[in-house]
Amino acid sequence: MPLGPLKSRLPVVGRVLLFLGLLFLFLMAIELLSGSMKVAGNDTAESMLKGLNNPFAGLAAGIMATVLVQSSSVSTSTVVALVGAGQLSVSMAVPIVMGANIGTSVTNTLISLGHVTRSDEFRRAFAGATVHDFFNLLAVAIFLPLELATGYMERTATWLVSLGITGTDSGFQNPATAAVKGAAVGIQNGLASLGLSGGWLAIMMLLIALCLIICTLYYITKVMKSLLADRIEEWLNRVLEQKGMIGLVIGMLTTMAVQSSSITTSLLVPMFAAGVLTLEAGFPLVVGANIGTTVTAILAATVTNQAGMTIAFVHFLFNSSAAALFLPIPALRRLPVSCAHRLANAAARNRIWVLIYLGTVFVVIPLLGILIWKR
Amino acid sequence: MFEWFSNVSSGAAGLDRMRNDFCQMLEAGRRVFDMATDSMLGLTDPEAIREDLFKTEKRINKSVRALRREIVVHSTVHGPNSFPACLVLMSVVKDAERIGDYGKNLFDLATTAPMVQETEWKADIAQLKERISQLLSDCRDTFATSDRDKALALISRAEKIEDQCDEQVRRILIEEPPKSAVYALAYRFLKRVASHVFNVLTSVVQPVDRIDFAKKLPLARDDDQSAK
Repeated sequence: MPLGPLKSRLPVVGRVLLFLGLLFLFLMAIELLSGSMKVAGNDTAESMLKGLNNPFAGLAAGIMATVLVQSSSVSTSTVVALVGAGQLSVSMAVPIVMGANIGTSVTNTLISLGHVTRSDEFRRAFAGATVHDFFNLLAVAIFLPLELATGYMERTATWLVSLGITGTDSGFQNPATAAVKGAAVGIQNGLASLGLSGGWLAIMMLLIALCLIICTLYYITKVMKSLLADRIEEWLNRVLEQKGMIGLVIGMLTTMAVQSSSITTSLLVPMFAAGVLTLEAGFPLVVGANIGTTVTAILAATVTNQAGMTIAFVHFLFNSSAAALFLPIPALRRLPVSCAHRLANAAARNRIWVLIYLGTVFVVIPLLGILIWKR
Repeated sequence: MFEWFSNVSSGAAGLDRMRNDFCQMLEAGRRVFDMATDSMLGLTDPEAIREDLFKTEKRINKSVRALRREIVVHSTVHGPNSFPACLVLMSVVKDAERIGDYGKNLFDLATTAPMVQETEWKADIAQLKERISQLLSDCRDTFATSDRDKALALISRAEKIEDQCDEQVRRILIEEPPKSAVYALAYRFLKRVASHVFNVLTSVVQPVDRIDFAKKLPLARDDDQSAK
C-alpha cells in the first residue's frame, strides 16, 4: 500500500493503534510458529533442520532465505521462534542470523539498479548500496570463524540473558505476553476443532505463522514510516549537515523506528545517487541500520524463552562487534568503502559486473553452500 | 505518545522548513540587490558594502546547495506525493540564486561605470530600483503564504517592470546612435547563452546540489583529453 493513501486515510491515533495491533499479531505469529514445531514433534523438525548442523550450510541457508523473503527481520524472527521452540540450538542458529545479515543487503543493491541509465548516478548509487554488502561480508568473514573458535558471542549473550532480560521462562509473564500466548493457543485450538491434527495441524500453523510474520512486518514498516517520516527526514538532514559518527545513531534510530534495515538502506540509495551523501558519510548510517534491525529479533524473543532471547542477543552482539571493529579503525573503515567504490567503478564501465556480482554472492554461493555442506 | 507522534508526522514540517529557507534566500537576494543598486546610483560607497554584499551572495549560493540536498532527502522519504512541491522548489531556488547573481552583476557595473551625472536614465533606474525592491519583498511574503490573488497582482507588476526595461533598452539601441551599449549587450547575451549551456552540462557531471556550480568540478577524463 503506498504511503500517501495510508497517511491520508488514517489519523495519527488510528495509525498508532494499527501499529500496536500489528505488533500483537507479529508476536502471536512467533508464538504460533514455536507451537507448530512442538506439534510437529522433535523428530520431524529435527529431520528438517539437521542439515544446518554445518555452520557454512547454516550461513548459506540464512543468505538464501533472506534473499527470498527480502527481509532479515522475517528470517531472524523465524530463527528466534525455532530456537525458542527448542528445534534449533543457539550454536546452529548463529551462522543463520549472520547469513540473514548478508541476504538483507541485496534489497538496496537491487534498488540501485533503478539508476542504471545514468552512468555517474548509477556508480554512486551502486557503491552506496554495495558498501552494505561488503561490510556484512567482511563482518561474517571475521566474526564467524571467531565465534566458531571461541563461542564468545553465545557465551556473552547467555550471560546477558542470565542477568534478567529474559523470555517467558523467567517465571513472570506480563499480561501482553499472556494475551499473545492465549491468542496463539486459540488459533491452534480452532484449527484442531476443524479436525486437523499431527503433521497437518503443524503445517497449517506453520503456514499461518509465516504469512503473519511476513505481512505484519511489512505493514509495521509501512505504518511506522508513515508515522515517523518527518522525524526520519529531520534525522537524515542532520547527517548531511554534521557528518561523522552521528550517522551511526541515526541509522540505528531510523531502523528501530521502521523495523527494517532494508528500508533505511534503501532510503539512502537515492541520496547516494544524487551525490548529496558521500559513501564515507553514509557508511556509519549503514552500520547503524545493521544494529537497529536487531531490535526486531529481540522483540520476537520476548514471547519465547531464554534460548530465543540468547540468539536475539547474539544477533545484536554480532552487529555491535562488527561496528566496534570497523568504525573506529580508519584502515578497516576504508575497506568496505574502497571495495564498494571499485566494484561500482567496474559496474559503471560494464554492467555485466552487476550480474556477475549479484548472481555469485546472492545465488550461486548460497546454493552451492547448501548443496555441498548440508550433507 | 500520541502527541509526540502528531508533532512529527504531519508531513508538512520538511516542506515548511524548506519554504522558510527559500524565503530567507529571497530576502538575502533583496539585500544584495539593494546594496548593489544603491552603489550604482551613487547612494553608497561601493567599497563600504563590498564585503557584506559578496558574503551575502555567497550565503545565497550555499543555501541553494543546502536546499537541494533537503529536497532530495524530502522526496526520498515522502515519496511521489512530495514530488510536485519538490520540483517547484528545485525550479524556483535557481531563480533566487540568479537574483543574487544579477545583484552582484549590478555591483560590478557600479564599480566599473558609476552613475555620477543626474540624468533622465538615472532617475528612471532609481524609481525602477524602488519598485523591484518592493516586488522582491512582496514576492517573499506571497510565496510564504501561497496567496494566489496577491501572486497574480505581483506577476502583473513584474511584467510591467519587464516591459519598461525592454522599452528602455529599445530606446537606447534604436533612438540613440548605437554605440558601445550594443556590443556590451551582445556580449552579455552571448555570455548568458554560454552560461546556460554550462549549467546543463554540470547536471551530467555534478551531484544534484552542485548543478550550475563550477566548484569541485571533476577533472576531464583521459578519453576526453585524448580525443582533443
